[in-house]
Amino acid sequence: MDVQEATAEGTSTAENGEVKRDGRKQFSMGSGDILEGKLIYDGSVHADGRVEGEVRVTGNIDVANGATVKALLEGGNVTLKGQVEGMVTARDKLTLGKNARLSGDIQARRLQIDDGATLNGHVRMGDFEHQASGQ
Amino acid sequence: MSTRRPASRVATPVPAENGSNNGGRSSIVLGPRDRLVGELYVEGDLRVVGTVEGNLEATGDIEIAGSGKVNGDVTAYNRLTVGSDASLIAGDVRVARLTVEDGATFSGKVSMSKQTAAKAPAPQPLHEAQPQPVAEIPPPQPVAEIPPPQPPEPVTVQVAETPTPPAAVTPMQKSRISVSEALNRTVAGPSQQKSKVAPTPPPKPIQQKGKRR
Repeated sequence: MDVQEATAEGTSTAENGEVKRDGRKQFSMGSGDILEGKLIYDGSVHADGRVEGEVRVTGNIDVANGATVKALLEGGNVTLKGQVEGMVTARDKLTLGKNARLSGDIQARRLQIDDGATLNGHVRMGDFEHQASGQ
Repeated sequence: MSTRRPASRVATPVPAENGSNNGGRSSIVLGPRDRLVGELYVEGDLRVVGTVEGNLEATGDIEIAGSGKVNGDVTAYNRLTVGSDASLIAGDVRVARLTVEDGATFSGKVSMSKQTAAKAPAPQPLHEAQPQPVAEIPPPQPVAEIPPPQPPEPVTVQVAETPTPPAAVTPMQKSRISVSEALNRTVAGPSQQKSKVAPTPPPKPIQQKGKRR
């Protein structure tokens, strides 16, 4: 319930691609947006469109269905529904949706892969080392 | 370990019950108290609720359910499912479809291309299609070995065989020399037939032999 309310608040106030979500910032991209480079963000990221480079966030990362990501991703909860190429680190849980296509290594504390997802890479669970704070 | 109680043991389902959907393919179930150490290949489906230490390969589905634990490589031509309480610690995981439920322990190198999963996997030792490079290497070696026993034989045989190996090793040099020779000879005029023979030394003698015979 909390998530739904937060989402509603986020969408209602999304104007500059940055919205508040439960008091935390969210960087929200649209399907036509392009992000190239390195993003270190104290909040959550909704990735859509095209992303290339590196994304490290303290919050969650959500890659939308239809998005094309060629980047290193690191976040708390990472949910992939689009196409991702690169190493993915989830400090808590990594979820691959049914349409997700991930080509890269995975490091996560918890892992969920839905039927239909495609994964090519090395999977490592547990023994997570906090790298976000250090870098 | 040695005292198993049949009454308390969970009955292993009859293969026919699970295999009914497979159209005659076999179905193997390793119950919660079953344990497999070694390698297993199944033409059909495999369900693991027990413990497996070794490599698994199935032409159908592999399901690691309940408190099942697998430590080894897993190849499923169709689907691999790892349940929420199950564990898969693998080196290589080759599957066409993969489902990992939240809470499962999963690690290994995952390869999910439909081609590798549908076709026979590489690790199988039965498919060895690598004699070609071996066949390509020998040609120069036997040539060096052959001449010794043949010196007493007619000179024409040596002439016919010797040009073939160097032609295969260094065709560029041969062709260059022959072309230059051919040019000189064409300039000279009289021997055009020889110039044609020079660029293609290997096939000529063979064809002549065939015609003669």
